[in-house]
Amino acid sequence: MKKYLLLQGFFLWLISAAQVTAQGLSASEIVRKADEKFNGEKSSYSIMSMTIVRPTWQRTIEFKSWTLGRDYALTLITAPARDAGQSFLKRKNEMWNWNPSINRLIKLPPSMMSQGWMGSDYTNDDIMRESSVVNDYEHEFAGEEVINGRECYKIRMTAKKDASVIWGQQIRWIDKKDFLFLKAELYDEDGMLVRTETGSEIKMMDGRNIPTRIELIPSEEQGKKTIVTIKEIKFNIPVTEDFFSQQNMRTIR
Amino acid sequence: MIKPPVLSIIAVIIAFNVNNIAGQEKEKPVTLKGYVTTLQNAMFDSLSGPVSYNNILHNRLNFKGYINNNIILGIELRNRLFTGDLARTGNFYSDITGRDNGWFDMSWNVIKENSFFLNTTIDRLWIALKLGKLEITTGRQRINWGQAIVWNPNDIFNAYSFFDFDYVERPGSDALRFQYFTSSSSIVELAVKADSEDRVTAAGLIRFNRWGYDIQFLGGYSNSSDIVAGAGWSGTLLNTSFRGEISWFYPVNKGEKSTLIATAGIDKIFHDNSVLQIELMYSGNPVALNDINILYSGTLSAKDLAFSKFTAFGSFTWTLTPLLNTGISAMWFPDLKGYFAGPSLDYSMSENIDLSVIWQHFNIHTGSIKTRMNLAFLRLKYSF
Repeated sequence: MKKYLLLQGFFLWLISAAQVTAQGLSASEIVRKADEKFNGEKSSYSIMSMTIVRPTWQRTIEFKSWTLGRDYALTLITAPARDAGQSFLKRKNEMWNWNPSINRLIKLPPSMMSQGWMGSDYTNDDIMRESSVVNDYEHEFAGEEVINGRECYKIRMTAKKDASVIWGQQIRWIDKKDFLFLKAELYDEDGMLVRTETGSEIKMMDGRNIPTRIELIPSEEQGKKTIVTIKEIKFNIPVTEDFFSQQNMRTIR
Repeated sequence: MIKPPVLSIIAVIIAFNVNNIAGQEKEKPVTLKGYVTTLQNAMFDSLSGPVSYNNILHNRLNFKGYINNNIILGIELRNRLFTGDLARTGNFYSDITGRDNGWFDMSWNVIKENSFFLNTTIDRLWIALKLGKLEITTGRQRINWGQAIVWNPNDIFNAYSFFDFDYVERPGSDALRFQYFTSSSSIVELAVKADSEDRVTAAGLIRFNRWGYDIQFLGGYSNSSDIVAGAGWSGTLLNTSFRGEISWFYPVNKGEKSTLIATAGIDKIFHDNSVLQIELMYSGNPVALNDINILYSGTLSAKDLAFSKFTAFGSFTWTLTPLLNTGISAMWFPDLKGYFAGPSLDYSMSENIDLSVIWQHFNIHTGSIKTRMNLAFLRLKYSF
């Protein structure tokens, strides 16, 4: 038995050392392809809603988002009524909030990025996409599994030493056919599972098959989850850095 | 002149018509947002003394009209129905409420009876023209130049009171404003306003982003009385926001003292969204506080923010659950041998309904008289 495990271990090591699949893609390339699929190679526009589910209540936030690479993002809250019209601008390491009712621009500290987005299991880092699943992690194969009837690569991602990321390790299941993130397990620096993400309701949007319902389930809290629904998404929209401006964050609709 | 209720009816009709005609449009050319609140308040010196009960039923309507991508129209108004002990004490309360400090008088006591009055105030009425990076806004608008959280010596176009929590929008200024966005994170502004006493404020501001900080400088003429120069900043120091403002007011009339007023503070948002805020203010020329009500109603100039040479503020808001915030804030006025302290509670009852309980306790020496005042509020708010 021990011998078998050792052999299997060696076999796995061999696979990951080779880092190449039948399609000739390395684990890193698969993650990059999947990431680009969802986030757009260059830029994106999306309309999403996020429902925070707790054992006794739930609340929904709706927003529109424009992004350019990882450095630029503009998010406009469209619901609930109390917060609608507020916008958030990210330019590289800096972030601002525009509050239309008091007509004021408020500079936010970079540490806001790891904070829960309005009480959800999502963090600002997830929304404003501070870190990169491609560049901030080392990738290796950890097997193959079927998720929701679709064959997936299972890829283990370990944070690079110098990367400033929230997750120490991630395991991601990526659909073989369409390179979709269908499941992820996110671990902290001590290797504890913090949350599980699943992607479902795969639909064609802007010419691509993507999961339009994403569920985030924190592992230690019963009955809690956050559901993100993608209502519309466009990839590689024609925007430049200039679009992500304090002028635009006041008037964007 | 068109009466304000008629104006709001016309606006509603326009909103509905436009929506029907342009229902296919992706973005509505006219938007309406706002809220309805009922604010119940009890006012007393001590628990054993007499109590004054008051209620304000308040409806705010925010209209925005997008004539095209470059011309935007804004109309915002508040209708408030005042009832209770203060409304019954003659004309004092209704007169103060119906007073408009702007150049145009757009505050009306529409109905005034012995035990209640209804006030309508238009506090925004502007048209903005966008010409590339230049924006020109004319009319009643909020020109907000503040960087700090509690006190804003740089906010020379507005004057308000920290304690008036039920008016986050603050009054507007009747002004002409030019904004030129020199880059994605910098701006040059010029603005001029006049108030009900024909006093003029005209000033310019430049704000840019450097070393991770927003930094601004301003200069101009304030309330037809002072030359003003100021600077402000917002940035981060050890994962904590660090903000501040400094303004210097130099009276044009000889013989009056100049005023240097400065404030600096930190605010930190913790992982569970709890917030800690500390701010200090210095004024070389604090205003004498003869009436405790001035603390509440606010002064008319950014020059007169302080009633004590030094003032300290601290607050902590604790997120008990994502739906329930509790907070405590306090202000210390050494020269008045006094303080303000107050707990608060905010609860999200449903998607659009919020409940707040707020207590304000003042213990202050005005002149040689020790004054104590308690204000307890219960507010139910529906946003749409």
